[in-house]
Amino acid sequence: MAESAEEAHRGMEPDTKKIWTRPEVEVTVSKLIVESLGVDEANVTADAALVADLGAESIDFLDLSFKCQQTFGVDLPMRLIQERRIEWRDLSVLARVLEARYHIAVGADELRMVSTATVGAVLEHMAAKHGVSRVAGDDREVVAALVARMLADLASTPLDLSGLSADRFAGYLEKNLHSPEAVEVVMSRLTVRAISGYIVGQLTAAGRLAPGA
Amino acid sequence: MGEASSRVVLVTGGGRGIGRAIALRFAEAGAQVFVNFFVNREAAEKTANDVEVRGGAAHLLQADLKEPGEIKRLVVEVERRAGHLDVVVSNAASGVLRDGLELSAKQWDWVMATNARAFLILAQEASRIMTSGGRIIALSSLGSRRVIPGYASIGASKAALEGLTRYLAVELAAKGITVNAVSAGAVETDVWRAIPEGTAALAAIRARTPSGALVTVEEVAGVVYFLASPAAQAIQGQVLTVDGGYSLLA
Repeated sequence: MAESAEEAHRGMEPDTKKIWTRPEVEVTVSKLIVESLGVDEANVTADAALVADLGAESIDFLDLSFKCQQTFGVDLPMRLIQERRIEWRDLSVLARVLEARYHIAVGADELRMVSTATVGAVLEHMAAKHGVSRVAGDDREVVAALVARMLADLASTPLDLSGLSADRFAGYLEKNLHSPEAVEVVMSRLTVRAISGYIVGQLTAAGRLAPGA
Repeated sequence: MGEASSRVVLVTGGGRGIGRAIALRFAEAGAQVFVNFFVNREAAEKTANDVEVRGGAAHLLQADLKEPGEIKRLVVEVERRAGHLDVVVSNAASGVLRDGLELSAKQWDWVMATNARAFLILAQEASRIMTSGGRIIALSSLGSRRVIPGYASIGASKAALEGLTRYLAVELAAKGITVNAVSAGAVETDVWRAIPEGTAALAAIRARTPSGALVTVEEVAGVVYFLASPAAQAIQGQVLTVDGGYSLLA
């Protein structure tokens, strides 16, 4: 592999030596978004959310990831966000939270069989089938632990989660574990600025951002 | 060292799933395998590493196969490094799971460009550096002939691919190159995890399959490997169904 990897740099591989400045990254990210999503440049403002404002869909994210790798030599791990969403949806995150709290391994498959997708219904099921005792406030604590786990899982993605109200997020999940609003509130953090910020962070870590820029 | 020891093989979408299994199958025979990938570099690097562990030589090539220019670049790169090509496996596929009535023109174009047109351009470019005994093999699926919910764009792209297989087979036969397709039934890959209730759907398919088991990636790779062997020289322009008998049932 060493030899072929070395050869690769002369052929189809991205330039992983180039030193970037922050403004260069920002301008280039905007350009790549315009190309990938086929949107008007004027709409690609720093605060624009890719899904809600620019109408991005899964195929656009594939394109954008490809272009970021080719341009910056930086992976834009959009599939991580997708993976996390799958884990929420199939309740495997909830299964991990419950296991940590009650020391009982209940599979996500079993949790999905609970007729109502709420933490309350799941805890009722845990009480009836697994003898877990319930006290007031359990629901809230489980939701809080779930939110903490979900947000921690997203920390390494290009989402900008700063200032995201965990309470608001929890409010949606309390009502419905599959809350579309919860997904929306997270995806609204995928802004043009967040993507530039992610790329800048990766370039900085690789020592490829011009100092002081 | 097997019969494929000196063979040069290109597998598009070779980083994961069926493509990965195909890359590894050829690696076991000591082939020089070019693993093409789109965005998942981590998976492709792992496959390339495993190709070498199994006795093959690996090359990683990232390319966006929707773009004809990228395919040309890909084949030129193979030619630059290996001089020629013996086997091309057109496996990369992408899709939008949506009913036909809901598909946008952009989604349709994306899927057709990735799954069908890429096969055309790849065959055009690759056959240029292939000689007698060369093999072009495309991966199809049952959705090309049967209706699978939400599969309209992918199914139509696979139907185009199967049709093209027959035309290319006739056009390239005189050169000693065979062109065939392998139509796999439901194969347990990570793609199913991304589909809502995908796990339940897989279980239902398993229950309905006469063999009682889902087709594995290794089984699909084995059929691709056979089609690439000298024994399959007379198989031309065919679509081989590998589904454990699933599609035989009414």
